[in-house]
Amino acid sequence: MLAKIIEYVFGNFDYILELIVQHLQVSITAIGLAIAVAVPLGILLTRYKGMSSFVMGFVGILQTIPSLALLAIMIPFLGIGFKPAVAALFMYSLLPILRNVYTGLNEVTYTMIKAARGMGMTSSQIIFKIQIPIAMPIIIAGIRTAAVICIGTATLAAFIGFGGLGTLIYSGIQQINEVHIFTGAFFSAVLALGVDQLFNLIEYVATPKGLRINK
Amino acid sequence: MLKKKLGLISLVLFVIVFALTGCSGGDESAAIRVSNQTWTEASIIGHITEKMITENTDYEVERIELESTVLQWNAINNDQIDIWPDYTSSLFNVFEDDDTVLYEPDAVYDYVLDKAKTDYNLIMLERMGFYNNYDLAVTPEAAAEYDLKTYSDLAAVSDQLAIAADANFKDREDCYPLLQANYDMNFNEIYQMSVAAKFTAVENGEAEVVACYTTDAGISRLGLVVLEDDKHANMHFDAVYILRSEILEQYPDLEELLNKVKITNEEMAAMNLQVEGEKRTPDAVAQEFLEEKGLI
Repeated sequence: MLAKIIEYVFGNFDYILELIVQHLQVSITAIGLAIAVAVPLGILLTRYKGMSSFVMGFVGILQTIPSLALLAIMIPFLGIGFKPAVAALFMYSLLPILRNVYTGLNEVTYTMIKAARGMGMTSSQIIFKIQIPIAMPIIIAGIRTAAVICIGTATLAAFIGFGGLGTLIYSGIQQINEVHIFTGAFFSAVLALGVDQLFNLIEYVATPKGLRINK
Repeated sequence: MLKKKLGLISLVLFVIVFALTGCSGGDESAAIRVSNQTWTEASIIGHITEKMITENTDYEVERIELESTVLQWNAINNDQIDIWPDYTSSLFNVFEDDDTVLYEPDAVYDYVLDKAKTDYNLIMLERMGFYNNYDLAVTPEAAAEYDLKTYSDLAAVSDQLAIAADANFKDREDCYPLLQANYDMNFNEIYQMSVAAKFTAVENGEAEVVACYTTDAGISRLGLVVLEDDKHANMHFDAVYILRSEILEQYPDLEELLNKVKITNEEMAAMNLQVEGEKRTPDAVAQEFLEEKGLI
């Protein structure tokens, strides 16, 4: 079995590489979009707390829509291929980021904020110079969760004609070809672990020096 | 600090915009878009279609894999795919939401042909020749033990047996509800899964009965006994091409070309077995078939 997998990987290296690139393309775009939307939204929600349960609830609902249904609904607006795949992954990545940004910022103790205000800082200074740096590890942790989920669920891009490693996994399941299934699953696991480690590093770098636990 | 962050955010946005625009440029290509699902038979037919066009004309073909009928139906109606090989009664089920059924093969074909043309502006070509009805097959052991030959025989002992079936078996009007209504079947256990996994379940002894298709490779691979539908309850699924009428206006010769694709049940089952049993690629099997038939 292992020999067959190795033989397949080396015999079809270009094809697998293409699938990996597609897989990363769709996940990175989705996670980038999710960061661009969820981080500012999370910051806004700390200002307008009344809205938070409503927005969180809505984003939570997005998370529960079955992927196949979601993809079918999106065809008239986004067509097939890259865009609907990104849109679906984007929706699934929002919640972990948004929740961690919101929780992280709220976790900053009130005495610290009061002290900052006492020093004459404006509200935006408090957010950008106090709350965000202190909450950074939690925010990054949210992005990290979202990124790993994203790499895992990016296999659904195969449903909608974009490709990615899901192509190997699903066609393998459909055609009883274990070699394809394991190859697809192996590389998507490697990508997920790689991304996880990358964010581990980012988390360390992004944490203010004074808050780092020595490693 | 703030500037740094703004810089980072604008970088991210730039990358996203770049990626999105870079991709939408690809939609402009003039290739004929053929869509197939990825289960064995659909994949083989997809490759046959692609080769028929690319080897016999100088048109470009893009083969798009979509994982379900719903996605393909939405895609062809939203100008995302041009050629879609499917089955008459699958379309019938798309057209008829309620539990109406039509059994007579020609009647289904004529109905779907007409409805597709008038209501959706889709053109259906001649039948390819093979059909892929829902069948019920049992392991030879179970057939011998319970003396099973027909659906009625099976219904009598169904509460002692487990069935492996498609993921939508319980919900589809033409699957389990139809069997229950006509034969009063009530299986002890219903395992719903992907098309090919059903046979793995039977092979592993987890189910005695499998809800399969006429041309499934698993039937001959595992030596299963196909039961007779003695009350003629099952619908008829003839393989056909469905095309957007615009693509036929643009490339009128596609009609004659694709109507040359004629495949018998035996040929289709043999090709399926080549892929699932011999682990050959659908691409290679399609190539060999077309060469043997002298079509390319």
